Amino acid sequence: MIGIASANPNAGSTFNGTTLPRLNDLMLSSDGHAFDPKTGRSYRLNPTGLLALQLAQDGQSEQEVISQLAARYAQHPAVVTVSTETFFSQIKRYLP
Amino acid sequence: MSARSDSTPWSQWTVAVTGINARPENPGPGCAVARCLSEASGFRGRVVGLGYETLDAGLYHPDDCDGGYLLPYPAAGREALMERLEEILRHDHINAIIPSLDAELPNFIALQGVLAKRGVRMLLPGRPELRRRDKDRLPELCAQAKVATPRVRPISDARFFERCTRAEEGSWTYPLVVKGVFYDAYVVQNPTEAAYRFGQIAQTWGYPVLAQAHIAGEEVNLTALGDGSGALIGPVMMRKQALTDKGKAWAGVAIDDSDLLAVGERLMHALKWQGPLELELLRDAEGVLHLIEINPRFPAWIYLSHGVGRNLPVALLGLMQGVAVADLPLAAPRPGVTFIRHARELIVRMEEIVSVSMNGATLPRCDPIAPRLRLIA
Repeated sequence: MIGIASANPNAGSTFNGTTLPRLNDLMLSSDGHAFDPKTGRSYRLNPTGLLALQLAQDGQSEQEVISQLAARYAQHPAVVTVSTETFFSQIKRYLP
Repeated sequence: MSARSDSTPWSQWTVAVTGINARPENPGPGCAVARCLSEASGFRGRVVGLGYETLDAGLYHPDDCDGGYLLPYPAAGREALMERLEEILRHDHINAIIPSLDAELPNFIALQGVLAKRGVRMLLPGRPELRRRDKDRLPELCAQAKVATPRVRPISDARFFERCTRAEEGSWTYPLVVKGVFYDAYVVQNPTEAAYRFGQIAQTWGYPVLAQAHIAGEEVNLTALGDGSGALIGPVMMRKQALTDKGKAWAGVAIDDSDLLAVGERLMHALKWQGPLELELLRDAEGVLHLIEINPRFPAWIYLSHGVGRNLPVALLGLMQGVAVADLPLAAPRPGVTFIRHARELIVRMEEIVSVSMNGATLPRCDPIAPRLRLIA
């Protein structure tokens, strides 16, 4: 399960056909805290969400993110694809 | 008195700051301005508080001000203010004044030239610029700067609020905001509530009372300096995270918003402002920024500027002495830095209260001529 545990954020890159132009603006800390410097909002990410965002900010494509998450958590890529699409749709709502 | 300040570096100035009341729900900016100066690593001068009431906390707080004096209320006029300042200057050489309350700006602007001849510097807007950012003239300014702002209308008859529910009053419907020319703003939901707030504001601040269309959204603020060229100097942006009953920030976080910055630059370009200011805006659900107010002074949360490495009161002193903008100590934005305001009791000896109450001045704390040595972090 990929997700934001509470609160909300914002983002840039293309995931699930959606462009997230401010994805790289998010300030991520290793403990799962994400801060959007534009809105001042903070979010708490679970470890999977944090890894997905870190991979995306590193410039990985959607397929690469899915592949790495599937390998890391020993999940079928189809399962990871659904969760990843849902996660980045959620991110888009938070990143105006 | 000669203008000794010409040769004295700003870091050794005696700086007087007004607005040093510290009521928890709505503090004046003065104590925060004083603290910015007191805690600045390069500042070795003195900070003098200029209060209006015996219980203005800044008069007594040794960490903020080195002493202080009472002033006549702004309504007493510029002559009364000048007379009092003359008296203060006989006891204390003041190099600069930072007015921090809206209502006192007209008097200080009028006295700027006279005070400059006595070596007292200020960096203030002109009367036309001050007037252009009045609450009832914001739509005109915003049209020029291409910035959204809610409609506003001066009201002198409370019966207006009864008509707001009728079709002939167009789109003036509830909720709307009832606000004073200088201070206070209330969101009202119906004619009864509106009439009550109208009376309350009129009694406190006089007429006209303003009605402003209500915008739902989250408040973001920007404070900065202007040098009259139209440049936005040292902007510090903040989103309010917790509010007092009066809607003042109780906690806030520094942000770095390119849209807000662009709005600030357009407004500053249009205004050609000189001195400190604060922009108050609301971001609606679509992300559009609406200008609500422009305050002609530092905000009460100005201590955050020190926290993010952009100590604007210090930068203001630099501008007063002609330091180039590029040489001002302004760090890159540091979004995420948070402030939390808190209230603490200050113990004041009876002699100190008596001195202010009877003489209009605090007891001497140190030699007013020798600058106090400060610990440098």
